[in-house]
Amino acid sequence: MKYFFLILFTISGINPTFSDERLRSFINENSNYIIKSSSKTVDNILKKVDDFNEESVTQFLTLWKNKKLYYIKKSKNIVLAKKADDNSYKVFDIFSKPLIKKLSKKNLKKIKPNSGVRAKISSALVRFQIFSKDEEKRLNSIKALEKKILPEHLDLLRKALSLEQNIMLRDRLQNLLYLAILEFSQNKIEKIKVLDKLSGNTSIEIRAAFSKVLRTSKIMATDDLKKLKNKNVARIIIPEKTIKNKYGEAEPINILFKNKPELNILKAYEIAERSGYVNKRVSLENIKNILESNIENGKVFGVNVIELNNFSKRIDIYNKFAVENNKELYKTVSDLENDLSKFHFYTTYTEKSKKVTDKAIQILSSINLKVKFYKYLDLLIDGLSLASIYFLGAIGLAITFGVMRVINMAHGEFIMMGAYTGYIVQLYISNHTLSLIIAFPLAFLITFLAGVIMERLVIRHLYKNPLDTLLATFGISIALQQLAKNIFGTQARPLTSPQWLDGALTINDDLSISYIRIAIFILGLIFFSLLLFVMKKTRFGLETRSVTQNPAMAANMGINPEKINMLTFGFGSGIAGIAGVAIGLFSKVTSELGSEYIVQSFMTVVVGGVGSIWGTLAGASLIGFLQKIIEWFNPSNTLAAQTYMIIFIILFIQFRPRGLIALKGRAANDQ
Amino acid sequence: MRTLLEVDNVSVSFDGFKAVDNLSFTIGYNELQAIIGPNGAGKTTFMDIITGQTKPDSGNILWGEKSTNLNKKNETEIALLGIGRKFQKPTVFENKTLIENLILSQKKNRNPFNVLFQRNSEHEINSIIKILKDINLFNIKEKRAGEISHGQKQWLEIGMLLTQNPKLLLVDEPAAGMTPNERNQTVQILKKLSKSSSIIVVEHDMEFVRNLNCRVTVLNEGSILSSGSIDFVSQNDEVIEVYLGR
Amino acid sequence: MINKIKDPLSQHLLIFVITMFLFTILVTFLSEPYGINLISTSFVKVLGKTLCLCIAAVAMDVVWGYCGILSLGHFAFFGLGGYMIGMWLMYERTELIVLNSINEQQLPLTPSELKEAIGNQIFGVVGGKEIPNIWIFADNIYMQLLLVVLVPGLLAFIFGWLAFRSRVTGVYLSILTQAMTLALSLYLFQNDSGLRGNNGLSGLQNIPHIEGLGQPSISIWFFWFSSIALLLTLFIFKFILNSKFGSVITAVRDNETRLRFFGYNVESYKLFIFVLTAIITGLAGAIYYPQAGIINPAEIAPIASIYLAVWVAIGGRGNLYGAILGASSVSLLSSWFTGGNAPNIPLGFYTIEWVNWWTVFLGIGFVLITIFSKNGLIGFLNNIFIKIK
Repeated sequence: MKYFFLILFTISGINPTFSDERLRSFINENSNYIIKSSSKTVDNILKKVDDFNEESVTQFLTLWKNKKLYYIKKSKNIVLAKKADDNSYKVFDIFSKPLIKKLSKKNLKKIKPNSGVRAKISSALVRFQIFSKDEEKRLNSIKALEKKILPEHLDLLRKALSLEQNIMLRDRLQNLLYLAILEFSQNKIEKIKVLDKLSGNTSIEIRAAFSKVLRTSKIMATDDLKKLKNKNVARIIIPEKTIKNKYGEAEPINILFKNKPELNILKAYEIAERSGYVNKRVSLENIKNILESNIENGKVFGVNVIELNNFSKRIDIYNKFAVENNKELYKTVSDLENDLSKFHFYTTYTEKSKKVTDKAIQILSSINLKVKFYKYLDLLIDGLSLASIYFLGAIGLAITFGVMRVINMAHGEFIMMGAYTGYIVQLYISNHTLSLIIAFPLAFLITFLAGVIMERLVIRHLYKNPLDTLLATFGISIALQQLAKNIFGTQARPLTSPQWLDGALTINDDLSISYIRIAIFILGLIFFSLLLFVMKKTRFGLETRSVTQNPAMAANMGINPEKINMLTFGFGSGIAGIAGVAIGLFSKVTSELGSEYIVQSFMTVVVGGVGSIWGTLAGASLIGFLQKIIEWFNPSNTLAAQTYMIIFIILFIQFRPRGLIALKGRAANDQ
Repeated sequence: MRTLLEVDNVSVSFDGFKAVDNLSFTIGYNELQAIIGPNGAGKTTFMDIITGQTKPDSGNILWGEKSTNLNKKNETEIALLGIGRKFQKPTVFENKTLIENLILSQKKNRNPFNVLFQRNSEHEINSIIKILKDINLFNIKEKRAGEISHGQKQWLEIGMLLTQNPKLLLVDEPAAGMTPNERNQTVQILKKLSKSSSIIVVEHDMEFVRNLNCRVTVLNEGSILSSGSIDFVSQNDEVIEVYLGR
Repeated sequence: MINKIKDPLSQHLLIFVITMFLFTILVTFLSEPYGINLISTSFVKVLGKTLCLCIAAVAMDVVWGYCGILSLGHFAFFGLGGYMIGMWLMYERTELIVLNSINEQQLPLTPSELKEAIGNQIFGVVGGKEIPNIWIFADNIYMQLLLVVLVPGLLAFIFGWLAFRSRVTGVYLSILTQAMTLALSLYLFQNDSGLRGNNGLSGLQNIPHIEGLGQPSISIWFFWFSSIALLLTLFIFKFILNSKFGSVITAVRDNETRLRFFGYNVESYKLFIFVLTAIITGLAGAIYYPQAGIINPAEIAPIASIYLAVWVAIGGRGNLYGAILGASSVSLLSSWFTGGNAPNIPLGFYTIEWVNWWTVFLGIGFVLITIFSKNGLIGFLNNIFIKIK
């Protein structure tokens, strides 16, 4: 196909304007530059498009940037194309829809601007959008700038800010301008002003901007510190001795935290070598290679290879060889240190003005102080929510353990049953809020019954021997777990929280609390007060307490200890069921759900002190907070945190064998 | 008479309740004394304090010629000094035979490594046989302790204490649950034993205490009401009111 | 008469020794390398491993059935023993491999180059190459064998000393031992634990220097080790239990407070038994894992220790033969049923697949035994025996 013509279809509603025509011809006139654009040539075109209709140019530039443009090989005309079938494309004019013709594949070529060009196009795009009358477009361009900002935007931003009327957009523009000034402005007075304005702002992007101001160069070497007088030196680095802090300054290494020095002696030597101060070092690896390449009949320079199984021998042989051949001798670490003692290592801030960097350090450190406070607050909240989870998991156990001195190893499986109950309810009731309202009491009922059955069939026979109860309930635990596996399979089942529990309460960049954590905390509080009420104010609680303290006496007073034991066990198990629904909302519902919580729950009860709701609260808080604090010191390693936690608990038991809140007197001795 | 044990102004309270209140008490070598008192008078707590199971809030417990202070010592150390205790409820090792029980309590090296290779000498066997005879249980020595009568368990326990050659025996209600005949035998056993060691008997039964024919101390609400011979204390009005009068 | 210290080689023990001896000979005779090739090498390994589990169960029975300490952490000692011997096996074998890969055109390795090459081989999977400090003795089998004894022993000593001196007893102690196991396995799960994280140690079946012997022969050798070790364990514990010491520890179980008033330092007796059983369990682990070939932290998980208690309870606690019966029967049956070899039971409306249902039945059966037969299978068999008589 040799020739083709532009055939315009006028689609209803879109009337190509006069200026569109001008742009089209401009584009086709300059198509060579567009097709073979480079970051040097593209500026020329980007300057010229200013004259055209803003909307059309925006459209064109966007297409160009996103690699949507094609050109026709013959005519070099720039078009849009859409695949029609295997070999041909439908071709469009660059202004959206108008169809031109079908064209075979080989006649078309995609225009692929390189990343440099694309960056220039995007920043040019901003120029068109930021002054747009359409608020939406201005917002978009601000968003684009917030992602990436370039030096040439500085003046653009100043102008845009002076024109902007919308308060919200003004704020964002102002922020952007601050960031731009910090990053690109050459005026140090202006920079210092901005730094002052930003003091107290803890947002992550501001902190990032500060660290950009405090960016440092790569490490350099010098033989005379006086030479650095005119430079904004960030830090003097002592090999093997210092580290870089977050302000770009040097700090001595802290042995406690096992941090590595910023510069080791070998790296330092390389830097000195690059600056031409020292000769290239011969490494042990070099020596090995040289010796190996000279192996002849099992000998190297007349020495048996077998003898070369230590470095000192290898170095000896090499040094002889080096002296004969006038090569560099091997240098030991102390030789290197000796050589380097004459030189100093340093980096400079990329920011030339010391006043600016000093100001930035001063303000950033005050910001960091604030951030630290939020981090502590976040830790506190983290600990609180973990404590509530442990409390929920353990409180049912505390009741059965405390009142009946019965260790229920199947407690975890009751938690699991609760979670699965929630899952099944959601299978039938799709409204998540309603399903939860039903799941909580249902889970209580089911696990209450399971507990009562277990008490009647098994535990009743074993009251005299707590260790036997522990083992028998373990038998039940493995049976229930496997049963759940057989019924529900091994994969995790969903228990979805209602929509209003999604998301988080965001206070700032460092502090946000997910609603589910708040809900768990509130649930913990409700449980706590409910249990206190039941145990202190109801007949059931009174009877339970009297059975705990003296079963024989209670029986004489007309309380049936058997009945109380049964109900207490059911009650404790029922609470486990409710806790299961709550835990299922944020963790995977599997048959192993319960066993993940069981040891922590036991720990909570033991640490808190047996037989007390307050004790369980104290235990859960101690364990929850402690675990978070340990994790805080070593965030990468939650496994280690749990290990240290348990070691702590074992030691804790040394000093408070009966837990935090313990019963006193003679009654406490006979357990 | 030389003093073996001196309890000096001792107080203990549990959660505000004063179980023992400023109590002082002494006993000499080879002396037999009885302590009586109503329920909750602090008799058991008093024994707990001496044997180190309960630590006094204030006051001292002094032992022997050197007046060693027992406040800081634990049960095992106190037991090794020569204070043996017989509990209210006879506690013997029911799965073991009478002889095994006595071998276990025998005064010998208690170091685990030593115990592992311990054997009994002729002399030690004879002394165990003598004790078995003293407590009238020689004929049933191969029975398991779980199979003998309540009274016999009481004697076995006393026998176990004797194997340790204690300087002081604390005996908590030895006559409880015994037939009159067994009671008389128990009185005889205790009297015989008091020739070689000091004994404190805690009892309810006035008749039993009268037969012991020794100094009696009456406790009430953690402190001493009266002390002296049985005839002397039973004429004390307060004693009659709190104890005998009821 | 009063010196009723029984002869350690009592009648039962004699019968057991003879039975074990005949059994070991029989297995050897049926094996591939030394006999008529009727049972496979892998089954010989299963039998050898089972004997090691029996040793652990016997130790568990002593500490629980006789001394009354329900330790839910003894499998941790088993695993530690395995890790200690595994370190040598893995290091030595890797060293041999590295040394063999050097050709004539290369310089012989210096000690530090050798270490680095071995470190790369062993710790490459956890992204490290430096050999951690705890491997300092890994090239020395005698030191490492000493550690098989010392590490479980020391852990048991420290833990036991802390727990017993603060008078933690009964279920509290059980929970604490469980926590100890959990802490240990969580620690080992980390990549920087120095023991290859969840990869564990592997290739332990290849015994350095005698690889030429071949797995079939090695498995028979280990079967003999296991068998002898079980007998030695029985001798040691029978001797202890029949001495006055044995009488003291059963007294600890029955009434610890009373014993204290007789001047016994109950804690040191408990500690003695706790540490001794830990060491023997550790040694059993050191014989077990070269037969298993691999050890990883999952082996130490708390549930393994509870299973140990379950075996003892099913077999019959307070009776060493009961422990052996329980451990061997339950562990062999478990691997048979969960291995997919047992025939499924069609019920018409539902087919019981043993792979899925064995654990359920085991759990229920265990509950029934705990309630109805305190003395376990051995007690049950005894009763039948007495009735027949």
